[in-house]
Amino acid sequence: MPHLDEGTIHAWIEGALPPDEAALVEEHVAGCDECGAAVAEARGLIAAASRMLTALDDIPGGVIPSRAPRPTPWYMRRELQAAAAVLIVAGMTLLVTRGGRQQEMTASRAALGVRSVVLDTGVAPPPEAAVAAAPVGGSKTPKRTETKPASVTARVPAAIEQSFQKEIESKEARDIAEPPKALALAPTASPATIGTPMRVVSVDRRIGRKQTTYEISPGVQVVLVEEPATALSEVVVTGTVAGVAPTARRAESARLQSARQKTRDSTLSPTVQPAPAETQAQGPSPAQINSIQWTDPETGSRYTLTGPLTREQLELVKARLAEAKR
Amino acid sequence: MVNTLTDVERLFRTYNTQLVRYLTRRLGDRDWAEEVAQETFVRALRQTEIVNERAWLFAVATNLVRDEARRDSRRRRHLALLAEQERESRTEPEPTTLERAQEAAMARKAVDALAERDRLALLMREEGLEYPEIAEALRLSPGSVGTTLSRARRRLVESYESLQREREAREKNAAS
Repeated sequence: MPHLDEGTIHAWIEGALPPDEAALVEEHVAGCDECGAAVAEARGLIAAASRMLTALDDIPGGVIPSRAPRPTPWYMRRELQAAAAVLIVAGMTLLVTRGGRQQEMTASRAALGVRSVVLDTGVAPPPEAAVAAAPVGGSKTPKRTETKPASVTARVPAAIEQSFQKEIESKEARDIAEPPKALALAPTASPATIGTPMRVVSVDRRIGRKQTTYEISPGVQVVLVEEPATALSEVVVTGTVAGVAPTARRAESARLQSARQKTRDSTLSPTVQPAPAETQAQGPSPAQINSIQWTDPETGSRYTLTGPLTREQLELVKARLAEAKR
Repeated sequence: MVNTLTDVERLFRTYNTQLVRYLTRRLGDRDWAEEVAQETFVRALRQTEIVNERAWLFAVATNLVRDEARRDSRRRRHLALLAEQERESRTEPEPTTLERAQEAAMARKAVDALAERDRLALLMREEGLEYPEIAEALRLSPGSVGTTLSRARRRLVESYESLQREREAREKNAAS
C-alpha cells in the first residue's frame, strides 16, 4: 500500500471512511512510521484548527459580535423578559377589564366632562386611570387608593396608560362626532357640557351628616352625603329606577337590602339614598338613579354619592371630587 | 416533509445554534448571521421535501450568504474598514482581553485567507456535519471532503502561525 494522503488520514481520524477502507488504513498506519507521524500531525492540525475557529467567537465587546463576552441585548435578558411579560399580562387584563365597559365609559366620560378635570386642575394623571384600577362597582373594601387617584395610577405602567389614553381619546373623538345610544339616553349630558366645571348647588348640614349637591353638567346633579362612621363599611352600589312605581321601587330596594345583608356587616344598615326630586325631574327619559358608597380610610367618614348616572359615571364624579379636594 | 410550522420549529430548535455559530464564524457578524439563519428557516418552511435536513440548511444558509455577499460586498468592505479602524483606535481595558482580542483577530484573518470552499467545509465540520453532509451542502464529491478539510486545516494553521510570528516580531521591535 502506498503512503496515505492527508485527506484520507483526516477522514480516517474523523471516522468518515467505510469500514473496509478504515481497516486497511489502520493496518498501514500501524506498520508505517512516516504515515504514523502524518497521523499525529493531522490530529494536531484538527485540534489547532478547531481552537482557532473557537477563537472567532471570542472577541469581547468588539465590533465583530461574538457569543460569550458580548453583553446580552436588553430585550433578551431574562429578568426584563419576565418584567415585560408581567406588563403585557397587566396590560391585557386592563384591556379586558376596560373592554367591556368601553362604550359606557366613553359615554360617561363625555357626559361628565372628565377631560375638564385634567384641564382644570392640570394634575396628572387623569382620573380615568384611577377608575380603571379601582374596583368599580365591586363590593371590595375601599382602598386608600380610591380616594387618592394618583397612587393608583402610579402603579399603571406609563406606556400602557398612554396607549389606553390614545385609544380612548380617538374613540372619544369618534363618539363625540357621532353620539352613540348611550349618550342619547342621557340627553342632559351633551358633548357641549365637556369642560364644564363642577358646581356646588347646595350644602345641607345636619347632625352627623353633610349633604352636598353638585351640578356636574347643566341639568345633571349629584348628591354627596357625608356621614362620620365608626366602623369600616364596604363599597355599596345601590340602584333604583326612576319612573318605576314606588312600591316596585321599595320592593327592589328591599330586595337589594336583603341581598346586601348577606354579604356585609349587619350592624351597618345600608343606605339607599333617595334621589333628590329636582334631579329626577331633569331626565326626560327614564334616567337611572344610582348610588355608590365608600369610606374614607383616613377619617372613617362614610360617603354616599347619588345621581342619575351609571355607577361608572358616579365613580368618575367621585374621582373628580377627590381630585378637587386635594 | 418540512412544510409545516411544527417541523420548522423542530428544525429551528435542533439546528439554530449550530447554524448561527457557523454563520457568525463565516461572516464575523452575529446579527447578520442570525438574519441569515432566520431566512434559512423561512425557506425551509416553503420547501416541500428535505432529504438531509442539516446538509440542506447549511447549503441554503451558505448560498444566502454568497448571494447577499455579492450584493453587498462593496458596502460590507467599507464597513469592515471602518470596523477595523475603530478596533485599532480603541484601547482594551485588560491585558487578557487584549490578548484574546488579538488572537481572535488573527484567527479571523487566517480564516478569511482560506479559499471559500475550504473555509465553508471546515466551518461546517466544526458544527458536526458529517462528510456526506458537507459534500451535499457544498456539492463536492464525497471522496474529496477529506482532502478539502485537510487542506483547509493546514492552511488555516499555517496562516495563523505566520501571523503570530509577524506579531511577535512587531512586539520585539517595539520593545527594543
